[in-house]
Amino acid sequence: MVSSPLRWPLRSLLSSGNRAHLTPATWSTLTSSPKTSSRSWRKEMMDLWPAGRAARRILVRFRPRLRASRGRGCWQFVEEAALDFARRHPGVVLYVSPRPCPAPLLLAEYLNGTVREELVASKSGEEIARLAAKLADQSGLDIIRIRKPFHTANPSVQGQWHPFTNKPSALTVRGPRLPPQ
Amino acid sequence: MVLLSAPRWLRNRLTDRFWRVQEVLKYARHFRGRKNRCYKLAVRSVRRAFVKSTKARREKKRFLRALWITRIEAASLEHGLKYPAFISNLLKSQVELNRKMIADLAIYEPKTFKSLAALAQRRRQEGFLAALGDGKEPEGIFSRIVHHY
Repeated sequence: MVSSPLRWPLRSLLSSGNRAHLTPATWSTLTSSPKTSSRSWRKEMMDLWPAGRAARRILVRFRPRLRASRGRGCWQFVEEAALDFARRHPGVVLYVSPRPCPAPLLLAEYLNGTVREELVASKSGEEIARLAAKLADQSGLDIIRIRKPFHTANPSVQGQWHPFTNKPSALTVRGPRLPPQ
Repeated sequence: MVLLSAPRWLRNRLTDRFWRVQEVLKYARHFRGRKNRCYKLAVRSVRRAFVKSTKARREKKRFLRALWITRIEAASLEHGLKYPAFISNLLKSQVELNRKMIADLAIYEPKTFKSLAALAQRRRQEGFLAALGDGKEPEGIFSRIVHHY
């Protein structure tokens, strides 16, 4: 089969059924020769993320079982915008997993453990790209009302008030022990 | 005709009822009694709860201000000053701290609050001297006004 590695379309990679791990490193392996050893790819990974693990993960799960029209936006996103997204957000790992699922999803996992799902059925590729960018920019904190816009671990410098703060010290301090008479 | 009407009867069934009910009940879960379980009672309670929480936002401001004033009054009485004297003399000395900050200082920074109370007391004395004195004493130091323009 004569096909240059530069022309491997993403679909063929995905049609093999594996999860395509799309990072700038993977993208470079797609464009480089097919003889790139896995060791150098792993080394590239380590250079990009010296911490040794992915900063944040966004999973695009699509190919719904029922109707192709709902997954159309996902295909558009993966074919056109996914590589740009991966390049623009180097700290985010994008997984594309085309397996039969009831609804196409964007699943975002954050460093603090929160997992956020967004349904992308019947959305166009651009909308999905915008959603993915929004999820990539978020930290994993809960989206609830912030009670106070300030917080401090050391609220008191001079010592918090207690009922004996402003009382004469004769009430609190025990004097030296007097010698027995 | 008979064949057409049967599917038409069954076509528009509500399939979302569970989630529509949960949308309301999730706000009623911490209520007391049957209104945290039964939808018909919960709908009324949740609506009243939302209305009350909207109206209470105006009263929260009043309530918190009263709380701060109580705390400042207690703290200034420890230092021998009453609240009206404390606040008025602090304003006359151009210390424009609001009640929230003064209350927080009284709790977390008692020495600072003591110095504020001393300042207010001194300004009060100077005010008395200026009003009741014969004009022979010099003007008070803390009665001087700083112009920022």
